[in-house]
Amino acid sequence: MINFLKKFYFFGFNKDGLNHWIWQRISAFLMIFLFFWIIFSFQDLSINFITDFNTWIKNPINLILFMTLLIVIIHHSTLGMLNIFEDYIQSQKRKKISSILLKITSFLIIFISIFSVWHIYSETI
Amino acid sequence: MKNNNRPISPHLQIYKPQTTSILSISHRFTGIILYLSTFLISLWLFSSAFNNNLKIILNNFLFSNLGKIILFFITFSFTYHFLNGLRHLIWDFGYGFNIKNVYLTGFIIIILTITINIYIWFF
Repeated sequence: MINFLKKFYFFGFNKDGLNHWIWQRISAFLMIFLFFWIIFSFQDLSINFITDFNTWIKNPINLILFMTLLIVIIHHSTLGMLNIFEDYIQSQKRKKISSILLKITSFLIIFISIFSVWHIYSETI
Repeated sequence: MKNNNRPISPHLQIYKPQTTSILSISHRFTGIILYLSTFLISLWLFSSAFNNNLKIILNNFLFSNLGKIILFFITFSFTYHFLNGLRHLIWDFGYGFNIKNVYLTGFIIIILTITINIYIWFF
């Protein structure tokens, strides 16, 4: 059991290929449901999307699911990009530097996105 | 002599293009486009929250022709990556591995991607 749970440590970011593979699939599964939810949810906003988004995000359920979606998207895409780096960057040194830069970029994207969404949510409450 | 710079993994330049290989490479390529599009999403959310001028500029840009072309690439990449991702997940469960099904599902995905994008952009 402990060995099984070890496969889930580090969210796919350690050196273990199986761990990476499993988390890539977990995030993919989560995204299937979250994207179906958001596509149907956004249909009501499509008439005046830009102003309606700010009211839509005020609903706590929408806020939590939207934040989850943002985290899962960045997680999945970072794992995918790391996979591409692994396959196509030949020099080990360059691969390591690119991976670190990628992780920093992803962290910044997720930080800015979550912080902004939270700011929109808490603006008038 | 140890050479750290020898070529590894898929040799795209010398690999004979086939439907299956093109679909596989497209999956990665659309993945890269989608990763880059998260920058745009992040910027849009930031502008919505903190900077009204930037928000106006960004929205005007997205409604311009160049913006629409970029959005088209994003929706196209998204639909393709989503559908092909489902195909990959079905493979992970051990289904659809014979060569006939691989080509069939690949064909279905191309048709669906084109249909969905025509629906999104023209209806």
